[in-house]
Amino acid sequence: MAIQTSSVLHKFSNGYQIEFPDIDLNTGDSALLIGNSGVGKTTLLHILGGLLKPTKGEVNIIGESIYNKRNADLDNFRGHHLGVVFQKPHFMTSLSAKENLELALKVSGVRTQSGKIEEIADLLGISHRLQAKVNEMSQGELQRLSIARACIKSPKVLLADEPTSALDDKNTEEVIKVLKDMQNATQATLVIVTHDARLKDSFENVIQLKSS
Amino acid sequence: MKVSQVAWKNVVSEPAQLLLNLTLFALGIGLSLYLILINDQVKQSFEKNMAGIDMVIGAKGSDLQMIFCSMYHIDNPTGNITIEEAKPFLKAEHPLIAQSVPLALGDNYKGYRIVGTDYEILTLYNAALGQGNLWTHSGEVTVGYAVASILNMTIGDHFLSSHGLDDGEDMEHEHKMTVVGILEPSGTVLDNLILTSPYSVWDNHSDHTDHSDHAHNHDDHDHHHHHVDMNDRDHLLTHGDQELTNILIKFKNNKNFQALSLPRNIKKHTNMQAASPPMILNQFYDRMGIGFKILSWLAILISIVSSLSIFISLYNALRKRKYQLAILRVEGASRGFLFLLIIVEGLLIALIGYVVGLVLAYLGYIMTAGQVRDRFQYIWDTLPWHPGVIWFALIAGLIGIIASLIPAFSAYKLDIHKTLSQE
Repeated sequence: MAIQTSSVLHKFSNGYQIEFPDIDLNTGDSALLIGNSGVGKTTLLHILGGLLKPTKGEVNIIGESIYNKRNADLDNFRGHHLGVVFQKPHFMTSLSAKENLELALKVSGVRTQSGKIEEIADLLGISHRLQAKVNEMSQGELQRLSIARACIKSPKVLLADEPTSALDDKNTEEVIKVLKDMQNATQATLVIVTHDARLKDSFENVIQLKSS
Repeated sequence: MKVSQVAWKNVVSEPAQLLLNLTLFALGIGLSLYLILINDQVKQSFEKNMAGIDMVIGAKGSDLQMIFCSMYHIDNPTGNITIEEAKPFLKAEHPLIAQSVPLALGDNYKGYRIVGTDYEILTLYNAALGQGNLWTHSGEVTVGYAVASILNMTIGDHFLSSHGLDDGEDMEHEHKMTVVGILEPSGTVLDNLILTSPYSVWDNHSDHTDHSDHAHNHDDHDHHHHHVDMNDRDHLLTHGDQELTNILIKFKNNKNFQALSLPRNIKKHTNMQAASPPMILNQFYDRMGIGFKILSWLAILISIVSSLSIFISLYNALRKRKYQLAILRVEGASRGFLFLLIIVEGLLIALIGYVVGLVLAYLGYIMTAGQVRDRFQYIWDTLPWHPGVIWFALIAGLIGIIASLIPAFSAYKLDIHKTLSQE
């Protein structure tokens, strides 16, 4: 199993709590987690991404119970096996696109063959912008760069948080295609959390999140 | 991509903030280091020329002026004393005095003082003849190494000395002076002096009887001392009415009570004054120390403000970059990586500031050394080494680390989920 969760519940400091449905996804599967605002989409993504320990429940990623790991091991695990694409891409503004990808590789601890950055940038159509400073790039280019950053280390699990929420239909279609292409290229398990109902038709495996 | 590369790019990506930080930091470090270098050179210059001198005798006036004039040659004489008055202290038989050196001042050549004295001065300063000879006739001079180098003087050169002690007081004498020797470099004030016999000075001044401060009664003696042994102290003492400016004295035992009370007795019982150079210089250091202390405190204050400025800029940068840092954590960066990144940024700012400060300090030093050379003919070390250079690098590094500790710790404690949920 690439992702397996059971009885995950998270209680916030204000007392509000969310129970999440169990998830079972095999290697290479893709799934859409869809729900309205406030159902805990981002919280679930953070739980799956090893960024937030749930109050209760078990989270196994590629067969490892990630929240039983020590902090340093969890950092290392995230670096090697998880890629996350966020709704708003944030980069080190002092660095160029290429340097941001180099930094992502450096902190992940993953070693890749030389030319990997150019290769992935080529796949995503941003190879001509690699030397550009990130604050000189368009939103569309940044979103692609964000996908490149998440995928460059060939993660086992690729998570995307509302990757299309601010995009028109054409761009939405394009981003989903890119994500699926990258998933195929890396043999990753893809999970997208969104409220964007336009994406329902693109995925066979749709998990509806509801307020508890 | 190394941490230091990322830190460097982050630091230089905000040039205005960097400039402010660097200016403040470089000012603090630069001023402190400049003060240390100057203080060190001033003390070195004074101490090198102490030459074990226990007492200076001269005309009544300021003690400090007398010592600055006779030992460092950077001030005017307090006046002159007659050989008659000075005689007891110039005699070899004096029970307390091991060595005495007469000085007759009054002339210069291109700003370099001409000192009428005898060969004892070479023993006193442990100086040696480099080329040629010591003066043996009136009108002959042996020049210090720096004087010869700077003025390109060689043996056999002639020049006309000028009346007064500064280059500005141009009034050439008719008497030609001849260079007969050049001293080896001694690192003392002798490097900057032109030595001759007191007779030369008197002979030159026999033409200037209209100058009240150098007026002598020349009726009783020969004005031109061409056939006198220039180093014969007994003969010198026969010129009772002639004048000297100062006498430098070394005691046989400088802890002897009578020797210690000699300056006071001279002041009390003669028309002359005497002072102990170590004592007067200590008083001078104390006075000078107040100014140095004020400047040092100012430098410390600037350093504190600059470290605050580094802290504020790193803290603001952290607030601006918290999403970027959170995403680095998502990508697998450890807490330690973020901590190190911020610390290295603080260190870089501090170390660049240190380098700029170091350059400023040495530029200031070079300018001051130039002024000192032009005004006082003292040659300071070109680029003096001081352990403070290393200490300040360490202090700068420490300030950089301390200023970045809180921001670095905040980065270390960054809650990825909370930060990314706040978008």
